Amino acid sequence: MNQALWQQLKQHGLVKGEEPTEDMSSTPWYVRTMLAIAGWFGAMFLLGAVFSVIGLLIESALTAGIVGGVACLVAVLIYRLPDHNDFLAQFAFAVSLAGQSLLIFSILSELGAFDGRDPLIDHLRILSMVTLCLQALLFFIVPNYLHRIWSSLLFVASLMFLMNYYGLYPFTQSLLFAAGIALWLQEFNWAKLGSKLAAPAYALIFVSLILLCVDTYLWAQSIFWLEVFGITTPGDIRAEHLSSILMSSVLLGLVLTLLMRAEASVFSGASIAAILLAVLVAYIGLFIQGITVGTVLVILGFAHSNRVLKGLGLVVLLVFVCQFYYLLDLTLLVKSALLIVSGLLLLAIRYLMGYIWPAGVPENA
Amino acid sequence: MRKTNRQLVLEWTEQSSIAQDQIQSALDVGGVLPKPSDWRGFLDKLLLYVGVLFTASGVVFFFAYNWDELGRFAKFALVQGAILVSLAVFWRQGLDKLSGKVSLMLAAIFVGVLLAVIGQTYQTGADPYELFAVWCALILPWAILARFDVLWMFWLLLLNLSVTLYYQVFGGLFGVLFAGEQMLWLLFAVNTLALLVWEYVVSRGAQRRKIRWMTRLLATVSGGLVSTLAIFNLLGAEFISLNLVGIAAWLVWMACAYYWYRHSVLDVYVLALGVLSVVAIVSVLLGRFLLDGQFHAVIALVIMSIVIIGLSASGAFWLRGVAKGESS
Repeated sequence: MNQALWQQLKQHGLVKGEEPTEDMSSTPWYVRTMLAIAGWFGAMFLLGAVFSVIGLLIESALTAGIVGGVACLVAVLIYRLPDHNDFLAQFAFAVSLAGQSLLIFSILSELGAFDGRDPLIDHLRILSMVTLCLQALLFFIVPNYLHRIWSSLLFVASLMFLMNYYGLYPFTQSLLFAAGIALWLQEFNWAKLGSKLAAPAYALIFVSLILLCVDTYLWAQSIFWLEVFGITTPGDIRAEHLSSILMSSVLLGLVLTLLMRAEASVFSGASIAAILLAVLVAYIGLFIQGITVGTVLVILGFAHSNRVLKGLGLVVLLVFVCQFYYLLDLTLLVKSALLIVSGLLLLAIRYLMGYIWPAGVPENA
Repeated sequence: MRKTNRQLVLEWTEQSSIAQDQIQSALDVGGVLPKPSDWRGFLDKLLLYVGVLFTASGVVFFFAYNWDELGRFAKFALVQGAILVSLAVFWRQGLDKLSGKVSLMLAAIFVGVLLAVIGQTYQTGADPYELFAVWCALILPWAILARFDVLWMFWLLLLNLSVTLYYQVFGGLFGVLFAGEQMLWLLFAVNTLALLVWEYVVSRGAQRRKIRWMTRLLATVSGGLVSTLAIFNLLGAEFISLNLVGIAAWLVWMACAYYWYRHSVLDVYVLALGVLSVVAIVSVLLGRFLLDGQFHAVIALVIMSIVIIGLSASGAFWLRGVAKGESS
């Protein structure tokens, strides 16, 4: 398959010479997931051992910090070795995670986060700031995809907390999601960046999805941040509606971008139909935000042939239709009417599409 | 695991084998970006699936509302009417079209709604597991007829739910203590049987081999359950007189999975799942031996950490080799 594509590209004059040797660092996502899970467990045991030793030797935050810093440095050096194998990479991952934990523990101790004087939220604010800086540094100096995913996830999670803390609460999720989509749309323009782009792009999507789940599933009615951290919504319910509108505008923006990319006239029949359909889904999304999010991911996944995003979008769609059942703003009767009318409308559009845009596309499963 | 054209084009661009300004052309040549006809097919399926999902959910929500203004006959007429309409669409569209299959799936969902309305109206006092079990039994002929993966998955979900709810009510044959493990055994048997049947079915039709998500989902559930059972065994109170059935089942599962997905039908995903399972089982076994007080905790933790890292790294090395062999 690789060779066939290479030959095709060669015939079109897009590449020259022999096919490059396969990049062994690029492994399927499930092998990476396996490595990540095992790496985390390995790091936990390693961290347990290190903490035991430190606890035995000296109860000093400074010692923990020095050991943590040295561990991170060792991990970076291993990753930067010209010829490192899987074992070394996995070992470096575990050492790095253990080192980061020690370093963060040390910094928080020095800042008095464990004194019990300040409220929890202030400790978390410091933790987020420290994590943000540490992960930004590690992101650039560790040339490994798995580690970059880890750094990006922690960076975006910290950023999310700080955004909520500093008053952006109802908009954080939409803003992170919009940033993730914007990065994905640049995937082909900035292909040279490789994992430096893919890792934060995935992280932005995952963290925004987690935030959406926390707001809707973990604590219904968006009271998680209020109950746990005392973070309130500026502007109350109107801000949440504005956030939903922002999310809907991401869908419309995506559709318009894809239409422009296909060089389709905005006033052509297909373009108008696509925009109207997006408006309909965006309207439904005002009630169930997950529907907009899921639809955006499915469309983007299809447009970029990215099966991970497409699969994620389908799961989000399914999960959030079920979640709609528990939404307290509307009665079940109103919700059922909304769903049945929307569903039948979508099916009617599909039926009409057969006449307006007939094509020899087989309908077979 | 073959890399997709998308991955290859991105990789070659990153390596500068393809110039940045040529990437669009390379993506077109590789067929990465969808053509208008692909978009039409995609929209067609998206509208069908989302439309049906919304409609089915709306009907479920409507009957869950239990509207007092609506008489019992009206309720039955509505839900039975919905089943009839779905079946009529299925009859008109036929089994070969996706819309026909989805209509049959919709009818299967409405059967569950009908059972719920019966329970709601006549206060039958039936346990929830009975509803799911009867639902499963009633829609089985349609699932067989439709040969539709999504409907089979839905059917299997109902069966799993039924088993789980049964154990929540009765707590198993040997009391509460063994109920959890008994339930896991039954769920393992059900899902492994489903995996075996699925593998048999796909081995008879090459086209269906392309539907990898079904194989992977079933293998994940079945492998996850047998690993959990083996871990339960390893963590048992009496290690000497350990009940080894779970471990034996895990060994058999791993051997069969290795033979089938390595030598018969290559699937690196299932092999990666197996590697993760080995890492988990070995870690638990080591933890059981090392953390019982005979060794110093620090030594035990370092050994466990190195073993986990070593096993997973070796596994990844092996999996890469297997994947490379497949793509060459």
